Amino acid sequence: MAVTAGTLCDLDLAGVSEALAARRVSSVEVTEAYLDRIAKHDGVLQAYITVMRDAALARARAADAEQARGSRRGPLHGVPVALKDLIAVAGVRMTGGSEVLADHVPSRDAFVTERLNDAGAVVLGKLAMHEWAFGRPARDGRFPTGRNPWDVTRAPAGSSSGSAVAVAAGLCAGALGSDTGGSIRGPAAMCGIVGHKPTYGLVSRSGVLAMDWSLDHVGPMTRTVWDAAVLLQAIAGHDTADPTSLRGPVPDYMGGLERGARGMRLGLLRRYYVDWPGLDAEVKAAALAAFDVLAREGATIQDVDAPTLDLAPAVWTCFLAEMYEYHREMAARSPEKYREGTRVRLYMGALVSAQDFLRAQRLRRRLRREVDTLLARCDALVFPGQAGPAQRFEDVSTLEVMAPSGRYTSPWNLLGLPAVCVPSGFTRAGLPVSIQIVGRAGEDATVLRIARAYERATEWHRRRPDPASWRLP
Amino acid sequence: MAPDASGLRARFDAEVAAAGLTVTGRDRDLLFAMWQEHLPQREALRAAAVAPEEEPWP
Repeated sequence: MAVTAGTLCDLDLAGVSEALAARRVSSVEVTEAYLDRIAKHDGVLQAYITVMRDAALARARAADAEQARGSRRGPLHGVPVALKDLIAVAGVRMTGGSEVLADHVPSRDAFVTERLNDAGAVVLGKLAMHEWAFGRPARDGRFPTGRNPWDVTRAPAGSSSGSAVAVAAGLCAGALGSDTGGSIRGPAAMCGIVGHKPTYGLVSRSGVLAMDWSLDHVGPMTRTVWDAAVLLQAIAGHDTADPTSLRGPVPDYMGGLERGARGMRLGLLRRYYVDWPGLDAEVKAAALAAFDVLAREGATIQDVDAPTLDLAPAVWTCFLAEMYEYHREMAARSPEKYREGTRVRLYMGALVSAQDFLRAQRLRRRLRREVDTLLARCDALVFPGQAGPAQRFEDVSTLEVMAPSGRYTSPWNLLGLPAVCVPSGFTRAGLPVSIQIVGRAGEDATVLRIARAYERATEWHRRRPDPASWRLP
Repeated sequence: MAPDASGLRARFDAEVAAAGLTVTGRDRDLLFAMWQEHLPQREALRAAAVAPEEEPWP
């Protein structure tokens, strides 16, 4: 098949990588194709805060020159990717989606940026996000948070909103986001892409703006599971600059992807997630159908429960105290530089008492014990990836402590377990829905394998939003 | 018996003062609304029975 600019941006990361490896296209051509598409569509989609046009083309030329000399670093060589705007790139403004950092230029790359550069990737730019990773969708101001490419009147969820929009819309081949209560998985689910929150400590947080130190994770957002595995392979590994960084060898995340689901024992958290009255009926139906697919692929599925999940949102909310501690001086100095909803949520962190925080830590440990017991007899847990499909901007509350979908994602930040959302269908209105798979600590390869088993049995990941619909009403 | 509105507001004001938080006007009203909305969750957290041997994470 001829590779044209149009078809390039419809490819997944693997497709771009294969085209580059086969020299059907150069990195400069791929990079220009994405830059042209960004120029054409990002005025509506608002996925990017900063487009690094010159730096990206320079890196693309270097990648092409290196390949011409017979050296190819791996599957990311010459592949254009983009970063949530809380991941540092030396010399490039990093805003965190906030007026407070509107002119902040870091002098050093984040660890994950270095890793992507080492892998030969081309960083196209910095992606929109919810303010400080805990704000709400915004269409106004200097840092709008992006529009859902499946329906531009709807929010993509967040906080890694731009990452999800850019990947789903073909404005980059893959992206990195961060996830403190669901900020990778939520927008991935709402935009019909794969979002993987790795095991806590597997990917370094150094050079990444913090929200809650003990809950923050950096991870890949991509069109397919294989793409996520490739990015994870590049960014995982020990970093002395992150005190929570795990030691030890990094597993092979691609090697076992095609082993399928046969023999896998999956625990369905039915009571807490499937039977919850707030779960959208279409999301529920699609998730149950997805679990049937996994069963047909050879997995066994049994209902399981962890009673302390009922308290997980309350436990998670106590960690707003970490956020407040991080922001206290800045917010006192320049409160007007925070959006109203963000500022008020921040103040909620000041109202968490030491007693509440320690109670939360005790319950967090109890939840981990319950879930570990489940994962001793299951290879992974499965459940719907979200409470409902993407919301219209005007329907999103800017003043709630936690969005309803936080129920589906935040417990897994508390436990630091690997969790992946993978597309599992569309509503009648054409909005993406997903399932989520959670595994044992350190077994990211297992959750990706199960996600891939589902993905290869279905076609949802091949659908693309229609650029003709990217017009404002 | 559920506390009345003025009792809730007094409790909220006391917590804000104890936290050393200076917040006024509309922000304070919005914070009060958010605090009220979150109160049932916090009460559930405080009401959870925890055994003496259950230590904090990690």
